Amino acid sequence: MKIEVKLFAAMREQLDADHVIVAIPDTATVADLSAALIQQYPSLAAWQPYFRTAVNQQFAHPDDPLRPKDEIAMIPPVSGG
Amino acid sequence: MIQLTYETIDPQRVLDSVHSGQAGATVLFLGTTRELTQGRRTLSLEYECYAAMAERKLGELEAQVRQRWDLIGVSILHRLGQVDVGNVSIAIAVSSAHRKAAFEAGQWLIDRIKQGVPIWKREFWADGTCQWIHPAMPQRELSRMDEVQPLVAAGVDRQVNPIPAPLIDNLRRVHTNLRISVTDRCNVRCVYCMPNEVTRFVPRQSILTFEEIERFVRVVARLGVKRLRLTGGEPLVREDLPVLIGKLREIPGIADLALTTNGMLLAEQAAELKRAGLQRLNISLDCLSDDTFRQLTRRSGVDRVLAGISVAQKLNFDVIRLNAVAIRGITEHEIIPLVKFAREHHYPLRFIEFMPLNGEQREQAEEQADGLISGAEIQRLLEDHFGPLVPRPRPDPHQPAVHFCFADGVGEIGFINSVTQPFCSTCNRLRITAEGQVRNCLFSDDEWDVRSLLRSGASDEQVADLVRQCVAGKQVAHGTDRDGFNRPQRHMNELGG
Repeated sequence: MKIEVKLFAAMREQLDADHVIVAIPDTATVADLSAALIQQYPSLAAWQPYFRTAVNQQFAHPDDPLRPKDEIAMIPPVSGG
Repeated sequence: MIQLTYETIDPQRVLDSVHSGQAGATVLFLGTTRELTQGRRTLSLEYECYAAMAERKLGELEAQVRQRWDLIGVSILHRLGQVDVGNVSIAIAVSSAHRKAAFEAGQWLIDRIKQGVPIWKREFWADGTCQWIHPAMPQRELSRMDEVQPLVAAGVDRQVNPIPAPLIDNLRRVHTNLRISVTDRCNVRCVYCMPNEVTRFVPRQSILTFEEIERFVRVVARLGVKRLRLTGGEPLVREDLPVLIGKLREIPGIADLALTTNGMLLAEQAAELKRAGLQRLNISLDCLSDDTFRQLTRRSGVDRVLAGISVAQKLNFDVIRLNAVAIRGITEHEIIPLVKFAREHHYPLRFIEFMPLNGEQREQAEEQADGLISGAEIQRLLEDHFGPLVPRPRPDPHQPAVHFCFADGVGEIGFINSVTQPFCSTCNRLRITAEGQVRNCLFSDDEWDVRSLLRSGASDEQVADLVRQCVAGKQVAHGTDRDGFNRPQRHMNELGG
């Protein structure tokens, strides 16, 4: 399935795109998606220990399965407040 | 009251929102932008957020704080967009019967908001630099990212760090972006660019060779140029372009390789361009119908452009964006179909204000009240059709587009309002023409002759000095909106527009 992944702040600026489309198997988990994202965009590799994945606007666990209509965002370390 | 807002926060209004006759205590917290952080002076902050999730998280925090303490009113307002030093970024107000709850709840809220709400700030410093703030990211990684990660690791060529005397003009604009025109030739004749009968193509020996371009880029890369964009004329008509891309990709310090194209030759060439190292594409698409295409470009072939876009998408370039020019009397009826197309395929689309530079078009434009359809007018047209456009933060302060997304969340639109909202103050671009002349502005007639230096045995330092002179000579603004503006002698195809 093709998943749209929203990007923010420096990650978005780095790819100059506020979202990218990543292809993953239908049975993929959150961890699989992160791996696929980095593989497709190796320049994001340095972010890997630091970003969290949000699925449907909640922080997700790496083992969580994904569904085609899920809303996905990569959340780099936040700095609001 | 929970709100994410681009408007100035009024502390009184925040206080009023938690007012109650039952409250014995009201606590107001204001987070303000500090001027000094670790010795650096901040001018402003800019905030962006993942709006839907941020609102959800703030709502959850309110629910949790009310479970922990007995409270009457709770309000959280967070700014988005630019907040100057001394101004309020966040306001939290809490009221309760007794003061202990209000004090503790207020502190708890600001601590939690700082941890888990998807809001980010970018700091703009007095020295002209800016950086996203991502706590816990190693500073080394973040600085490199903000300078865009080089394709060739910095360890390979130590000359890249530190950068000697970067290209800063007297308005503190740092030039990190180079447009390279690889040819003045083109396979179409857009009415806004070139006259139909072009009589003065530059002879081939006057055009820089790939080796000359490469050498020039190596010199400016050591001066801090990091991003390259290939243009023309139409760059894809230059033979063996992938060879040039391959050379440029290897230059230490060059972090981004992009191309602007009319897309007519893209279907055939995209795969090789990507293999050679091209990362990002801007494709010009002003309309979807071949009738209008022919009216604009004096050639047939919109389906070739659409095929090119489709091929490029399948190849997974890092970014594919569409650039459209809207011209009064020609393309108004194309605007909505074009936007629908872009939304359907998730291509970011930018409208560029038509700037009459070409002689023929100049006369025609002057007849039709300048031919300009302003970005604001297009925006109104889109809002009439699609509903309100939601402003988005600018992804890059040097990128001139004003960004919006649609209320339904599908698709994104930018406006490059070169005429009605000039963005000269953040310009970071240098240009080199196909003939090896360096320009600091699309609209200035001043050129610096690098080709002569390259062909007469000059040293790299002499080339660098010439580029520095060019940067030093940059005007405050392009001035096309002023009376007495002298349009450049050259046509757009010769400038790399």
